[in-house]
Amino acid sequence: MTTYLIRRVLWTVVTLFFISLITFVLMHTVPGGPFEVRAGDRGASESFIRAAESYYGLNDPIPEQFVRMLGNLLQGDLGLSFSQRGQRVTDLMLDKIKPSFILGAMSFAMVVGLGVPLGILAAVRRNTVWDYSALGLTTLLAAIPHFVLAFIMLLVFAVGLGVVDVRLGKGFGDSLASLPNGILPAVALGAPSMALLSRITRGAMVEILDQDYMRTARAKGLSSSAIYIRHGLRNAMIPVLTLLGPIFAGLITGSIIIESIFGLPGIGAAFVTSIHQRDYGMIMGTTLFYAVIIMTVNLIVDLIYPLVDPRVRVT
Amino acid sequence: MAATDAPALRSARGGYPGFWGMAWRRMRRNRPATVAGAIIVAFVLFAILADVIAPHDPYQQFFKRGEAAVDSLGRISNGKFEAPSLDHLFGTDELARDIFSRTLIGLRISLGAAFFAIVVVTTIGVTLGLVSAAGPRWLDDLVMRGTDIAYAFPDLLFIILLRAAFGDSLFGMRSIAGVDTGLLLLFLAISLTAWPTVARLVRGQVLSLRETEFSTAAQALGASRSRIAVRHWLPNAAGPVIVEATFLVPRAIFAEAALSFIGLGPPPPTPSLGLLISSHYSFVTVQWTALAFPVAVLSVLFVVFQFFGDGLRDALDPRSSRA
Repeated sequence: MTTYLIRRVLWTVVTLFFISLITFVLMHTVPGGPFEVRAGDRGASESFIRAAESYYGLNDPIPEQFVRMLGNLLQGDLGLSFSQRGQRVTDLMLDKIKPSFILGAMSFAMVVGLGVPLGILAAVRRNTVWDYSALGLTTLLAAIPHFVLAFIMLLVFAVGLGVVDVRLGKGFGDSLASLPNGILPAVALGAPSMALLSRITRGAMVEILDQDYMRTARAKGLSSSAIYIRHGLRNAMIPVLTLLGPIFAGLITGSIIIESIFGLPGIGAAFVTSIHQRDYGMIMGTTLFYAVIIMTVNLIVDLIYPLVDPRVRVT
Repeated sequence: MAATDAPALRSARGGYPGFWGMAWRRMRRNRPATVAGAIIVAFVLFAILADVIAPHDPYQQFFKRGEAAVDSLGRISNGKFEAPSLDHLFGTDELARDIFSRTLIGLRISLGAAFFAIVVVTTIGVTLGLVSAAGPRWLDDLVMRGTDIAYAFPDLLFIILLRAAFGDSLFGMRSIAGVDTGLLLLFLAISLTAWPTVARLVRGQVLSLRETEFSTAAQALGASRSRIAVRHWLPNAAGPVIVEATFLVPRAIFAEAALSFIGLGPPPPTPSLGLLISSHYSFVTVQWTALAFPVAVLSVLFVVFQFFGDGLRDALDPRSSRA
């Protein structure tokens, strides 16, 4: 178990190294340096651009820049931002991660709070109008691209009813009062995952309900709530639990488009801006942040799986 | 199965249907998948015949001046943001261009590019998967660690980075074989995130096929390793790969539209579906139908490929059919 954990963590570090290498090469391939792009709009002089580039060490050989960046990274430092003068990338990122995290958490709460009960309902009332309605709803939600759903909601609530502003994500996460503005983005972000979770829950629950021990429990005269919750749900939760990790990671790292549509000041929208501005530190920071989340969640799922399902052993 | 069912299984030629015949049968019995398949055929026809069907040049501007700018009810219109009419079925956009014609061309671009992505992904994925399973151990390790890294790299982030790094031209060419280079590179970027799934799929299939008796039999008959791989393993691993390729279409179309929306799509004025959606979104309060039509086409495209993929999976792998 311990050797397994050590091996996994070491491999995670190696993977992060390769991801940072690929990101580094790609972002330096993007035509135009950070100061050429920005100076173009302001008509800055050639000598200013050269001075700024040498100040940030952008004229050094590329391999040297990479090694220096890695060294700083090991100390938890991503350097100075190119677009926000005098600000450290790590501080900027912490600012941006907060709204994304709150949005992801709201979405996750909705996905689990609606998806699991819907799946159970469909399984318990199998082949009734309840089941078919749930099937129709989840099929629709899984099939519509999430940004299309965002458009439809904006059309209805912002353009049609006029109850919300088109860019309602502005200032999200700054205060408690701004939290309700996250509801529409959270719904759009989580709808496909909600549909998936509810389908998986239904499938797992249906399989369990057909087991012999369920009939035994009924024959013993247990109440139906005890049967469904204690005997059914607990066993059906195994495939559902393993799905929760990837869903959570997907909600945190998948909000790039939704944040851009609603004008929500999160890390995804910041990544898009940093690409346009060639803000190397921000690009690197966001990529590594996402990669760490994805790999950590995968590791946790792999570690938890044997705990909920004793038939599986970690090797 | 009862003995009386047996004659019904015979095909017209008198033989029993093979694997693909059975799959075809199961597919036809699946109502949603059949409907989805028919819609896909219709979409493909529309895309191929886009030039013929399109009532107008997708780049022509229909500005109105003088008397023509006053309609039968006496309202003044300069040709921009027009509501749907018989002449302009989906209305006109901010430059007075015909949205219906532009959507048809957009459909062709999205579908064409999706098929391009399928070809790239299956070629890379199948080759690497096969090599990984049948080749030497170190090669297997190399490919599998490569897929590990690709899985940990956030998809959309990687596509955005690649897209920005590639730019809009290749060796100074703005278009290759009549297709916009920026668009081609965009779909190449999308393809480069999707191959690991196919590679792992093929590897897993081949690893289990290697242990089968017909594989040993072929070897005993003196077939070479590469012949076994191509003639026996590949056809048997084809089912899951086809299913995966079907699901790639909505993913590619989604990624193109998403990238257009954040300003990293194909360069204008190429009317890809994503570009239509993102540019029409900016004047949604003026003429919402201009946004609704491309969004509807994209959503239907998305839905039918998902249904078709689900149907294919059930048809090609009867064990996976739901309770």
